[in-house]
Amino acid sequence: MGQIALSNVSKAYYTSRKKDEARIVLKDVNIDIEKGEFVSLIGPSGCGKTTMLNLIAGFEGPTLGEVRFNGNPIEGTSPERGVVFQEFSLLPWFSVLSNINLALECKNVPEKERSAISMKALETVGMENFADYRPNLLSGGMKQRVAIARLLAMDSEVFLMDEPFSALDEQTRAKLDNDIVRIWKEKRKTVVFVTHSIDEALLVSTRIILLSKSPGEVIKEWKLDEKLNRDPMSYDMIKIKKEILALMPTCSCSN
Amino acid sequence: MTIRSSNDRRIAEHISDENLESGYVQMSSAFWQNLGKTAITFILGIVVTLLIWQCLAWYCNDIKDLAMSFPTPAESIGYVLGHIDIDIYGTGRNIMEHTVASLKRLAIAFSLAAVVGIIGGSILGYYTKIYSVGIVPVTVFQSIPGLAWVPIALLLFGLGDDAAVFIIFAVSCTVITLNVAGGIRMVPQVIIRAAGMMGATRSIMFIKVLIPYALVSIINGLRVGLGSAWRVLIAAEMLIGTGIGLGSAMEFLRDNLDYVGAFGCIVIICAIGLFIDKVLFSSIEKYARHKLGLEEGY
Repeated sequence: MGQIALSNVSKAYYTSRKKDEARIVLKDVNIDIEKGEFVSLIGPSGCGKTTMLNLIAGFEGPTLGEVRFNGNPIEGTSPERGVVFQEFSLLPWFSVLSNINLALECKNVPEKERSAISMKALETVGMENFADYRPNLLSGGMKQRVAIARLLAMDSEVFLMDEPFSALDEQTRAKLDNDIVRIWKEKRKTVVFVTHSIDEALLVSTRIILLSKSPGEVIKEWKLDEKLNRDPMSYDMIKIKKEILALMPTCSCSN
Repeated sequence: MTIRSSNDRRIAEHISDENLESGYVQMSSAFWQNLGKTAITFILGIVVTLLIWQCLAWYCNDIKDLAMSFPTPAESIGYVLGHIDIDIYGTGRNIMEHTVASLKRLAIAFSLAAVVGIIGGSILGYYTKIYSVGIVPVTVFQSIPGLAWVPIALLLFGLGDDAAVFIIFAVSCTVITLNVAGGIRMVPQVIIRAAGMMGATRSIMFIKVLIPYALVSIINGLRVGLGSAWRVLIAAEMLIGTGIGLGSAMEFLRDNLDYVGAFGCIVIICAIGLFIDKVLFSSIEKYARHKLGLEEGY
């Protein structure tokens, strides 16, 4: 069993307040993620990618089946499984540094040691010059860098990233994609990366999991060797992209 | 014509080729101008208020020719200034003593209400299951009008200070609770989840995440709570024999047909209400909004 294991996981939500109908979002999903993998979840919008991430994070529990982390059933959130959210999630009244220090306070790191750890994390993401800024002065890309630095400071075993760069412009996104790969290569943390962009998934992952349209099931997986040439114009990349495109269902909201 | 705000005009005056190059324009601090502007608009507002009052007095005294003369602003303010250290006839206390007594009651009752309201409201707001049950009694108590608490207060505490304090507490506490709970419930889910994944303990969650995020609602709750507390305080003092306080002084003056004196008391009540709201609470609110990044810029 891998570090993260979803076994026969289904998740359903009520469709109305009357609670007379529930929609199945994930259907009998089995995924094993090994320590140190960089897994991308792709699929049409509404297929349950974010739901799957929420289950791993422990924000919600599965309707059926079980989600395990290091062999133990997940019973709630834990700093071991850090999350970078799609929306910006820094506390607006704290400076960048205090935001990260707060995460360390939650881990009971002694007060004197916090700032040094936080600054080191900020250096890794290139944000050390903005430590005293408050989040509302930062651009979208900078905020997400700080959110990544927060996980680095927390030293989470798993980085769960929910379309972290989807609100950013293309150049910023490409830069951050490269940065997250660099950080992953340095720290060798497990990364679960939700994205709707095939190109982004091809660029960063060692494994791509394609989900079907709702109710989400695993259609197919691709393993990409770390040393593979990630030039989007290379033969291998185009070949995998073609395969994914051929299998990729249209958005569940388009019919 | 091009639209140019006063901010743009002021900055434009200082732009030169040199600072266009550097990207920053330096100028003198506008602190005193800002303060002056605020003061002028504030004074203008007070002048308008006094004018409305003056017009009413003119109308009553010169056109309708009432049996009793309607006190003018000048007379009433004069009365207040004249009784700062001279006893209001028959009550044995001067205006200062009455005001201090009222403020003391307000302070005791309101700080109690603020503590109970913020703690209770936070708990109600955070725990959805408690909320659905707990909101019922809070709403029930909130729908009791201020003066309808009088019989309850009299039964519990009898005539006197404690009854007045209780009424003020009861009225402002429910308002604060509802606002705080509402504010906590408005905290975005992503923020609560972010704190959760960091491993925030319950106390960190409340003190560092939920309460700061709900600060504007909490301040608003305190503001409305204090406003209603102040109003009900005067009414309670008029009804419950507290002996001392602006409300009981007013009641006494009115019984003796001293309308100028009663209006003087109203002047003080309004001045304090205005100070609390416009000076105290709006500066706290502004600070909170700035801290939360709700204000433009910097």
